[in-house]
Amino acid sequence: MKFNNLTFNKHIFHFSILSLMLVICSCNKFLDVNPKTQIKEEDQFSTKQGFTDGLFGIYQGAAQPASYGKHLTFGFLDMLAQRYENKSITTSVFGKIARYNYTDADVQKVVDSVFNNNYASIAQANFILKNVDNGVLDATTKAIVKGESLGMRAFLHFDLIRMFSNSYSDGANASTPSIAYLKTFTVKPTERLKLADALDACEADLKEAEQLLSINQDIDQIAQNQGSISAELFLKFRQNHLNYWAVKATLARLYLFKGDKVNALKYALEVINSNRFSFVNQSTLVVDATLVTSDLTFSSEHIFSIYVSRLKTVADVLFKAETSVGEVGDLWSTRTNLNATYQTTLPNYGSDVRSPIASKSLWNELSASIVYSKKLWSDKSDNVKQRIIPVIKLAEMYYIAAESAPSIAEGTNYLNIVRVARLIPALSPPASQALFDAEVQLEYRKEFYAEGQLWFYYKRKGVTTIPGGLGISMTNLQYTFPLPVAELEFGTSGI
Amino acid sequence: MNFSAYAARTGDSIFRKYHTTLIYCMRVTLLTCFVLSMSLQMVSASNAKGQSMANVNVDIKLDNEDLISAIKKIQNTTPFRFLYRTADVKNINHITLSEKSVSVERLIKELLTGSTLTFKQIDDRILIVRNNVTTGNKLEEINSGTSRADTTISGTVFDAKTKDRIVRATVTIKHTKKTVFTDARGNFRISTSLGTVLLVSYIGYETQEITVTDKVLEVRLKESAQSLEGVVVTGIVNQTKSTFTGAARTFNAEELSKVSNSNVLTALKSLDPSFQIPENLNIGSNPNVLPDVVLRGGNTLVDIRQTGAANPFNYQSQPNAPLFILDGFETSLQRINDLDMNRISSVTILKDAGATAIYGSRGANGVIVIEQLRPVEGKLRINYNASLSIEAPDLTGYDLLNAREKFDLEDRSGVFSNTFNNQQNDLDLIRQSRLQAVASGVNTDWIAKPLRTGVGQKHNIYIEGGADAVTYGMSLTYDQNNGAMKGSDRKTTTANSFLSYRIKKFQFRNDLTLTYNNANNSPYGSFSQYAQLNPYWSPYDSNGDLKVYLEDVRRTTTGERITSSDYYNNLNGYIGRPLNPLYNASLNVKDATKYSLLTNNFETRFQANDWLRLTARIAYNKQTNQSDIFLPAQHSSFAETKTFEKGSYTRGTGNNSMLEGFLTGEVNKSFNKHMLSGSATLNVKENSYDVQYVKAVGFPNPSLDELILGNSYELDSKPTGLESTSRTIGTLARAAYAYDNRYLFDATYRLDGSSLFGTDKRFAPFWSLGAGWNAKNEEFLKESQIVNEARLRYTIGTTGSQSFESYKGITTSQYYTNVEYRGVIPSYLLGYGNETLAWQKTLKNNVGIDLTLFNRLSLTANYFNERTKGSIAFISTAPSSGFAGYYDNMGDVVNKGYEIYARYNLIAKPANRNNWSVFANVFHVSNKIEKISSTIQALNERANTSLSSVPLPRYAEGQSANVIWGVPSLGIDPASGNELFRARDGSITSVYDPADQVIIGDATPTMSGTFGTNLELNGIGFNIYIRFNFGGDAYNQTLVDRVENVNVAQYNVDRRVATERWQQPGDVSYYRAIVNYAGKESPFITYATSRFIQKNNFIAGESASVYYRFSDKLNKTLRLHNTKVTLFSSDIFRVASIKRERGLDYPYARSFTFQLQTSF
Repeated sequence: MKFNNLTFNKHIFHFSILSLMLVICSCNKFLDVNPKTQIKEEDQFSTKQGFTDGLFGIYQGAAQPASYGKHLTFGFLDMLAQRYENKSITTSVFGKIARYNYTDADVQKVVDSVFNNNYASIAQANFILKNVDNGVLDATTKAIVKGESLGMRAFLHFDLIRMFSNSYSDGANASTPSIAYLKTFTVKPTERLKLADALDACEADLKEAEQLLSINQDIDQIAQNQGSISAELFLKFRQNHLNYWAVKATLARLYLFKGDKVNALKYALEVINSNRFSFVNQSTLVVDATLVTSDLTFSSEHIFSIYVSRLKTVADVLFKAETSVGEVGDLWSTRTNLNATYQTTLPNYGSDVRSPIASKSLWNELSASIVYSKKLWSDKSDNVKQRIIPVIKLAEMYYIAAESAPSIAEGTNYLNIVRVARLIPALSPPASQALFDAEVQLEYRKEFYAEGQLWFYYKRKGVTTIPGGLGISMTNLQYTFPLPVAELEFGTSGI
Repeated sequence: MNFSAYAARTGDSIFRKYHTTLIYCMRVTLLTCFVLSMSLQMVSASNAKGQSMANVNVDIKLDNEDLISAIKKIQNTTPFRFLYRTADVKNINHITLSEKSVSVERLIKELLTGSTLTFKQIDDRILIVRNNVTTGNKLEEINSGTSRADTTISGTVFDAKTKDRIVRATVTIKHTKKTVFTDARGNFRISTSLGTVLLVSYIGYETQEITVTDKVLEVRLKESAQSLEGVVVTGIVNQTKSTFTGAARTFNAEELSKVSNSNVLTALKSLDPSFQIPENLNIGSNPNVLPDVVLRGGNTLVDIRQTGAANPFNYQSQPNAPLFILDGFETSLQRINDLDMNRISSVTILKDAGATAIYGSRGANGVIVIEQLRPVEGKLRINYNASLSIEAPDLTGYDLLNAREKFDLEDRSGVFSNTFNNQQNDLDLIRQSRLQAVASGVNTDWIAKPLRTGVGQKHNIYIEGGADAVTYGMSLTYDQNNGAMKGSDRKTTTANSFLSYRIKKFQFRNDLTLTYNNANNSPYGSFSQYAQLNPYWSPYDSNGDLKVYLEDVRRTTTGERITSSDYYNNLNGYIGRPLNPLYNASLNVKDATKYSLLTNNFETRFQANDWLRLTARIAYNKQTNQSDIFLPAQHSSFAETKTFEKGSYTRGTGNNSMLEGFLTGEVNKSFNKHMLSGSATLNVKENSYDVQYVKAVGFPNPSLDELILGNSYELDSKPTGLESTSRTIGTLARAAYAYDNRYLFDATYRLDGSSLFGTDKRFAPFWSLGAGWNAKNEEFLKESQIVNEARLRYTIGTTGSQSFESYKGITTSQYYTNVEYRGVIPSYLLGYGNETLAWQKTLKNNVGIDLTLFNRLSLTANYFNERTKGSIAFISTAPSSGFAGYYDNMGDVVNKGYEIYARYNLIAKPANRNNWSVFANVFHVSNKIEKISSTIQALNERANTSLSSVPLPRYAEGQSANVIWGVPSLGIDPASGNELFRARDGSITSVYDPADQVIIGDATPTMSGTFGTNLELNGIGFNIYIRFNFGGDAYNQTLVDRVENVNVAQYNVDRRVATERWQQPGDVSYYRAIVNYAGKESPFITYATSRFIQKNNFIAGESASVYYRFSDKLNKTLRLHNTKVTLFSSDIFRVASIKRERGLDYPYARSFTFQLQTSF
């Protein structure tokens, strides 16, 4: 019995030692808990699908109302560009935005949300870039994922620069403080850069993206893929991704912003001459938003557009009146303003599809003083084309080419290509640069209603009086948004 | 856990989908099998009990075998077990026997014939021992009584109550120095002769004198009356108090029962002032709200951004709540709150590092160790315990205006005058209508409407018994607590079974508890609704039916209702017409929660030898929760909702499971004057919970109160919920050394790992060192009659805290649930996982003294200093990083304080239980913030610009966390009725500027504590516990809310509004004017000002009880045992320097409880 006990003790001893060793070895594994409703970094990036989901997360971030899903297109930026009426109430948020009252708490919230959201999308891009070299992806997929992530990182930073920095003004402001350029995935504050350095960082990322994405230069027109139920969606709907041509288009924008007209022209022409984007054919265009074929944003012209899955809930509130009069929170224009924008008094301008008197009208005219844009109506849930917001369009490439062209005559030619496509008479070259610029500005006003780009044009050109505005003289104070308070409190000032 | 890892690897989706269910099923099956087999063993064992070996027959066939194999054969076919020394029996060989149906007694007699062996039956065991003396001699010796010959006496020492064998008990022959110790199985052998007297002693037990009448002894030691004071139950290992250097307080069932019989938390609050339940004026005596609990003030710097608990099922504990250990395993505050007090055998509060370091990462806020009763072996005994309790609402502090007074105040304050926009006509009509109501005698006492005297009851029946191998206990408790608000109750039913089984060196214990709880919140809603209703409104219309709207004044000309004053806040989310809350209460509204909890603790003990013991314990908890809130379409909060969306039902479901295992080895050795003990523990734990919510709308009829009858989900709503899993691993080593019981040293080291922390900081070490000096055992005090106990202790060590959300240490993504991007559901970053997130650590120092003088005065005092480093705080970062912030260790705080416990025995006659003692417990703690994060600094900055009528909390370096900030006030200007402030530059101003805020008070009390007396004379006892608090400030928020910032036009107000506020120039008043000298309404809001800082001094009768213990004679006549009747009362009186309404959301209640305890 004693003997038995001894051996038994021995067994227990061995067993304990063994189990202890096992336990210690598996300790770290045991402490790795997998959240059920969340996905851990290493798990997500262990499959191609995880990369896809993360990559699409960047675009979904850009589709938020705080970004291109509202404020960076038809919302905040177009309010600033004085596209809408309904700004007479000085205490309403819209009224305060239209008066550039950035220190007001409500307006500050909008500005902060734009800043925070774009940086959140940038963090998402950096999150992917941090993991993209982990060996999970094949070379082609990796090039696309990395290219799009780098491209979006630059694209989002560039728009932040255009909002929160001074205009480049041909280098006069090159050393003024700009924003922090986030190249790594971190919570530690990153130093703010000088404007020129920030632009260089954008340019470098875009160039790398251009090179990486050159392996896939395809564009599948959004319309052709409508209703696709394919399971392989990674390389579909290229215009809703920052594709090869969208990177080039962004570079064209960037060079024009920097005043590098040679490169601006080069890149604009590369996009134009790719022949992958074409102007809408007005005879076949459908403008009835209840039809599945409607295409009010001219999707074949989109070089890059953002898909907003719940656009209807956002846009209906702003662009549709439930009663026969305009509602306080809505965004509308007056017939007088639109007539001025589209120069309807000039002969032959009435056939311009963008104008309120076109036979296929993009407008819903409740009364002479209340005219809503129908561009973003989506009354047919099958129609994906009515849930995309253009971010870069073919017309802008022509306008960039026009501004960058070595001569006014050549520039006028580029303008005329768009004008002819819109069925208005071609211009003869204006007599002076100022007159030419005035024509370009008019074209910008016609083309980008509810798309946000006009504000950037005004800022770049330093326009002192914005048409349709409240007579506020535009200075740097109005054109440059203040950084969020939290950024000043917790960020490093850098310069 | 491993299953899920496997499933995740293999991608077996079906397994993954159902694995929790599968594991649950497996666990249940395992458990059922186990309980069944235990029960069977019990049944078979009890067969043996009471059977004599003379009555059990056996068929046996032996063919030239030795005695050992013969014994084995007998063991196999009978319930008996044999005990023998191999050396004694191994020489008996060559037995051949073929017997049919012979009694065991005869058989063994036969087998032992001719040998020097003899045998004896003890219960189911048969002891075979060597007999050196022939039977004849022995008889002779006993008869003559002159035995001098040496005999080996063997015996076993048991705990009389638990039947546990006592290892290393001392057995001494009286008047000699001959001493032996019991071995690992509690057995001893000593050479002496029959008739001598043995002294058997063990620490914590009464020493027993035994005259040797037999060679085989069974000694049962009783725990000494003071035993629990002699042992510190730490939940992992027990240690004698005289060798313990840590600060701990233990209360046994007797002490607890003097305070309360309903809630152990309230009892502890009275017994030890360092155990605090901060007063929450809002929740009053709501039986369904868990109190906040802190020990020694708590160490965590609470995140001031936090806005209440988002989780209704209380899965996440408060950051400063102590750790609760019930029968060795961590448990929730809720379980302790619902625990049946009659089942508690002891509560130990562990405070300093020396006591809590064994809990490492969980011990920073102190540990409360609760042990429940274990069955006492012996014949079947039934204990019954019943109580009846009464909850009577206590409305002292409420002093509201009656209808006439309220109307006069309105009239006087210009509520009915407004010359703007023809409103005067409307106001005249309203005035007339109200005056008419007052004149007709309407004077509704609204606050009485939702109240009642709640009568609750509690019954507990406990059955226990068992023989020495098996003990069992079964308990059933039903506890119904009816609150002071109508319809508010809490019912808890608990069933428990305990089984203990011992075989050889093993002991098995299983403790299974099932709890079912059902709680209803009052359909009357928040009590504060009633305090603000105007008394000139009647809840009934002319037909005597309940009104929906309380006021309906119409223009005489058009018949239109006057809507100009429709901005009454009903406190239920609806601002508009004043609603009748009684109408809503009359509908079938439901606001209930319920949970069922299964707890199973299993323990195996292996006593390897006299100095080594191994224990393995495993606990499994599974709690299922459900919450239901139903409001029918008729509920007035749906006044402006579309028809098909009227009525709502919100259902929450939750699961919480915990699996924890321990493996402990303990060693104990002593040689000469050295005593060495040590233990090592491995502890693994997994805790997980999940919560889901759905809300449906469209319930047309109050009787359609099922979720499935809803019309649809709420528009744009989706199911919501939470989920969390956390795992911890801990290893612990503890060593204690005592020299001559004079100098004590102990050391603890614990290494803890938790999944909550960043991958870089997964493991953290915790340690403690302690030293003690038992001065009483020194030569110079040994013989002292004055000093009975004198001990000095000091400990230092670190502990940690980990009360925060899971997954803050890892970067995770989540999938969008309501959007897609071109056919793909994208993911987004949820937050930045700080991989360096580490444990919050508290360095604790404690110096203490224990003193007993004249056998009457006992005194314990501790001074402590606790420095917490790295409170886990949310750190804001530059938004350009893409994140609002992250979690990091930031924020250091130092707590310093002392506690003194003194008791003086005026009468102490334990023999006839007569005793009378007085006691006083004093506690003080103050804290100082040493370092704060940038986020908190920024919040402080913002407090300088925000206007708030509640003082905003601020954490400033060098200050206490309890300081109150506000603008210094100079009082009310008698000329204007406006308040005057002192600005930062010293100037006097009537303009409130938040930037002028300074520290205007400190809520830290100078001293707080309890005192009282315990008296028992001839079975009649009386106990009282009185709480006191002096020093320290409080911001009298109810004065601000109910006297100053009142809206006289809308709500009923405190009487002081009518009588004490400034009325005309020259009035020296404490309160601001309603209408100032210019005839204008003065600014509506009073912001945080020093005017409402008041000294928070009070004395309150917290609890009192009277009892009668039946005399033995009376018990005998009634055929009962231990019968006792008790009357408890709580919240008896309160004298305070602050007059304020207490119990805003739910009233306070005085409770009276009548309890009967007996057993038969």
